Amino acid sequence: MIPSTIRKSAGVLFVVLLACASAQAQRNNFDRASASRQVNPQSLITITDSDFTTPTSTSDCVTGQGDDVWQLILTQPKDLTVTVLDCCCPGDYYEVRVDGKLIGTTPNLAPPWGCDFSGPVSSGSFTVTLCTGTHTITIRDAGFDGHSQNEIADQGMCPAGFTVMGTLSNPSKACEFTINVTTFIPTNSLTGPPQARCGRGRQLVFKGDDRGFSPAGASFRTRTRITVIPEQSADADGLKAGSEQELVGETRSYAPDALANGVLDAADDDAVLNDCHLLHEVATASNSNMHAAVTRTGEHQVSVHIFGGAGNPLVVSPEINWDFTITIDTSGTSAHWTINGAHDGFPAYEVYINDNPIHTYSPGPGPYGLFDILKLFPPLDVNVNKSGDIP
Amino acid sequence: MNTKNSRWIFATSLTCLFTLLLVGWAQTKQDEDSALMKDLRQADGGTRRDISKSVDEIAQKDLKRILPELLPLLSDPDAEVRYYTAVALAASAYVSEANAEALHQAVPRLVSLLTDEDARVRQAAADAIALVMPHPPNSATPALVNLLKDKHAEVRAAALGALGRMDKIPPDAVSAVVLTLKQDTDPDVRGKAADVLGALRIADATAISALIDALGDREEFVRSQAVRALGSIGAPASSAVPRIKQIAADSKESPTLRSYAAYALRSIDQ
Repeated sequence: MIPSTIRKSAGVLFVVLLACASAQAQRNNFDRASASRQVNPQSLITITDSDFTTPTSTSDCVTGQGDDVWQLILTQPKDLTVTVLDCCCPGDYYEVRVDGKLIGTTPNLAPPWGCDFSGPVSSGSFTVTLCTGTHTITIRDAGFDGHSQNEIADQGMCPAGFTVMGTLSNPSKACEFTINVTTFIPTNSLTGPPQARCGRGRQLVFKGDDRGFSPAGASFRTRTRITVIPEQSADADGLKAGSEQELVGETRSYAPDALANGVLDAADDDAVLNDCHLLHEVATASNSNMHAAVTRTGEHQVSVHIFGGAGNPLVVSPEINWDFTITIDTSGTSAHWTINGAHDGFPAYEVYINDNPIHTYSPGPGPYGLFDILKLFPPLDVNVNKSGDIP
Repeated sequence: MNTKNSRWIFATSLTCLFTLLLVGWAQTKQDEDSALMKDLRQADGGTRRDISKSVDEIAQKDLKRILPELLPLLSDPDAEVRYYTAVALAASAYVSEANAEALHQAVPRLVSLLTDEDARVRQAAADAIALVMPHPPNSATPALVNLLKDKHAEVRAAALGALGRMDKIPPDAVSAVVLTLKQDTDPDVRGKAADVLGALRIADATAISALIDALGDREEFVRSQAVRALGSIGAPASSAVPRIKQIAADSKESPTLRSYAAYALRSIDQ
């Protein structure tokens, strides 16, 4: 029979040995995982017309760590395949963006999550067609989302090491440019002309779009969108079939009581119209005077004439008018654009190519009065003559 | 001199000074206006055309005062001058109720422009008539109705805009608008015709029947204007309810049109 003192001592020794073995295993795991995960400043990695492979790490969890950014310069359109291979720890997964647009996300394989666990790591490949010009590739580790800084530190997850590979190949589809010409009223509301009355001569107010410049602005007065393909070899007439859209935003008029709290909001949208109380009338103007026409002007060049106007359907009014000619030329080392034309001095105008602004015009800070709306009358007030390269 | 008298003299002096300042300011304004109008009258054709494009400047003046100077420009031999003068009149009525009322005096000249050889002038004249307040005069109705046969869709639409702002229109004008709704080749014009019937709440059976037919128009703009018009007419348009209910429940129609149908049903039910 073993004395109880010896039994107790053996038990304590076993627990101590087990703890030491576990700690050593964790240290090995951490060392392995952190070998390629030093805190580094941001690097801009510039590549011209070639494949690339870069071991890197991300700062999505650490102050002072700069994410690497790949700047890819293409002198002709190419398909780019971006492959992301995670280094070490289960739970990391990656969002891949090109020119700010998400082109893919490697699979989220969690759980398990953390460098102390064994398990599969996340990897993936994504392909995008890029036009001539300079493109920016950025990677974000989405595996940190929903985890606290303490968890991330405890699990030795940060910074996360991974490898990025870029492979170029001949383009699988045509290089496209989407032109977006939008007009909008920046303020929340706008007083109507004297003819816009309800009840016993009460002046109506109209809903504005209540926003600043944005290619994704959901509220607008008019929007023309059209996608063009400058390469004749890819498309004979230069117009992407079915891409043309002429959209008109809804017009809403309100009785003066809707402005009791100073703004028009959802609470003012009551169910009964034509009663001179809160929401008074709604309508959508015709888009029949909104036009876009594409002309091929060269082997690598198209010209787009975007012109016309739309009025306020709820009151006799002058139209919002514009007349632009936009060219896109891909014969050089980067896609070149020009815009010439004119538009009214009201409301705000914004023109984008692939979400990059090429012209914006604001009628001023508001609130707007009838003398601002006067700028809707002929002739066109603002001339536009600009050019540049598409990033 | 006692204190009471001093106060009286001081108050009277102040009033006189203020009146003089006011008169002086008005005189300066009048001089400025006269200078602009003198330029308009005396300039050669090209310069006149340029000045006529100063729509914003003209629109901000007191129309009652400058109208005698502007009216002759509506008969200018240059169509561009006639056009911009009509546009300036419309613009002035758009920014001020007083100007919109003063525009009444220009209606006979504007009506004569509804038969102008230049389509843009006809359209601008109709637009200006539309903005007269409180309503365009009935004297303009026959010429506006004639314009519904104009070969330019923009001109026909402008005529409808003016008819829609009338206080009321006679039965023959209603018939012409109904015919336009039924037969015009341009969807924008058909939609505007529907809008006129709604704006004037024309509740006769022919108009309501034409609006119900227009609910089946191939263009959504026309369908939406027709459904809105029936909603504006209200209870007398109850025969349209089954058809409007179909639209409200039709998933193939746009959410916008379906929401207009829902609004119309509530208006007709009230």
